[in-house]
Amino acid sequence: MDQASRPSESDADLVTAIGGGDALALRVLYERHAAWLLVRLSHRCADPALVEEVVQDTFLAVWKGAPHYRGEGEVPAWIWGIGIRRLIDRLRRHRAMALFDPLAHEPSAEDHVLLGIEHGDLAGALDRLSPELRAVLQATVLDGLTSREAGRLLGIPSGTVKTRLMRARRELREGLA
Amino acid sequence: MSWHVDEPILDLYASGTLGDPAVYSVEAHLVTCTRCRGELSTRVDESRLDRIWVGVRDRVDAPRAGIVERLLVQAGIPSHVVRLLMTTPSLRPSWVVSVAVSLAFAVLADRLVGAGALPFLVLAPLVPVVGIAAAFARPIDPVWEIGAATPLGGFRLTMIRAAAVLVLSVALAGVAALGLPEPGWTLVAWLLPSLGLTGLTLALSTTSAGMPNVAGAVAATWSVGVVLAEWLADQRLAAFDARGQVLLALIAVASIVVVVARRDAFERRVGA
Repeated sequence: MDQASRPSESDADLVTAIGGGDALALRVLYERHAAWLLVRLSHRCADPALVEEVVQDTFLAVWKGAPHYRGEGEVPAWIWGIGIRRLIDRLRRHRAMALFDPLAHEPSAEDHVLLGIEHGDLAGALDRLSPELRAVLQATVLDGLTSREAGRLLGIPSGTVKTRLMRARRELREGLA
Repeated sequence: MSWHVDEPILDLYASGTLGDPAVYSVEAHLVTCTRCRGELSTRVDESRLDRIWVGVRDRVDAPRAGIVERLLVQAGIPSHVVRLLMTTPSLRPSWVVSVAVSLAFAVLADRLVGAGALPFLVLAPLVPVVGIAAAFARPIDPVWEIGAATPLGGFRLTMIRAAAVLVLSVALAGVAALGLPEPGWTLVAWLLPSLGLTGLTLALSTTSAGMPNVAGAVAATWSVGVVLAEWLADQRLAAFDARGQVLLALIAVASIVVVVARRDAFERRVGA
């Protein structure tokens, strides 16, 4: 990865160049954004091979979709929006595959200490939420998914997403009061 | 932005062991922070990223498959066979259109000029013959060099393409035949001749004569033969009566035997 990384060009410049068919710009964008995308997707899907395919899908979609990029919002947010939806697509096609398991992400004792410093009461309130409610919060609030998309990601009906989200809000409000 | 994710937190996040609320915080920050994204990159296996990139690059470079190609692949035909068929000159849309137009004119001649079914019955069996010749004509076959240089080329390549050309030709002629003025046995009278002439062309192409020469000779012999039979027997469509059909069926069977027996000949000179 020691080729020209074009530091003078912003992400938006790169996407514009990609839209014009600049394959080298795609390479530079990949170097800047593939790593965090890979890690972030890995937090939502337990299958490493599937995550790698989704990263591929995402940058292929960036290559094809770059001409339509209108410069709204940050490029990383745009890439994430593509990536999480590609993941949902893939998961729908691999229905039998292991879906993201919220129970597998229980914080360790060390995390509790770090979180206490960093997030104070909010972290405590979040932590007291059940893993199911937290997964719904993550998918909708943080990943920016609609309740239907969140339902597909988590393998639950969209109505369940809505009720869990309501419960999560109520519990958080009570926990912070 | 002056706030950045602490190194130990990034370590935990990269390894997937960070707890949920902290993950929210890290991810919300990563979207906006170039520096922390860079820090995170150093914690991801570079060879893994390189491997994924190779996949991206290959898919970006790959030529886009046409709609027919995608349909055939969806229908379960192996993609390398589909690609082979797509590069066959006599399976391209331009060829199909010209064959369809020729057959349509033959049917039209039969109807308007009242020439009986003769023009159509002479032409229909020649469609696969010319198609196969074109499938291997060196100047217009885009993969000729590949075929010639591929150890597997020869026999398999010839048979796959010949079969595809034959199926397509028969389908086109079958549709065209429905337009004939006096349907009946003429509806299928061209079928055995098609097989016979196609087989004969393939069998003769195992000799040192080139495919186009063989096809030309077969086409000329056929045309003259039909007219001659009609003139000698003093009977309309004499070449297509029972004796003619049996003769062409025998030629078809004999040709298959010759082609299989001399299959090595295809390995030596694909598309010469």
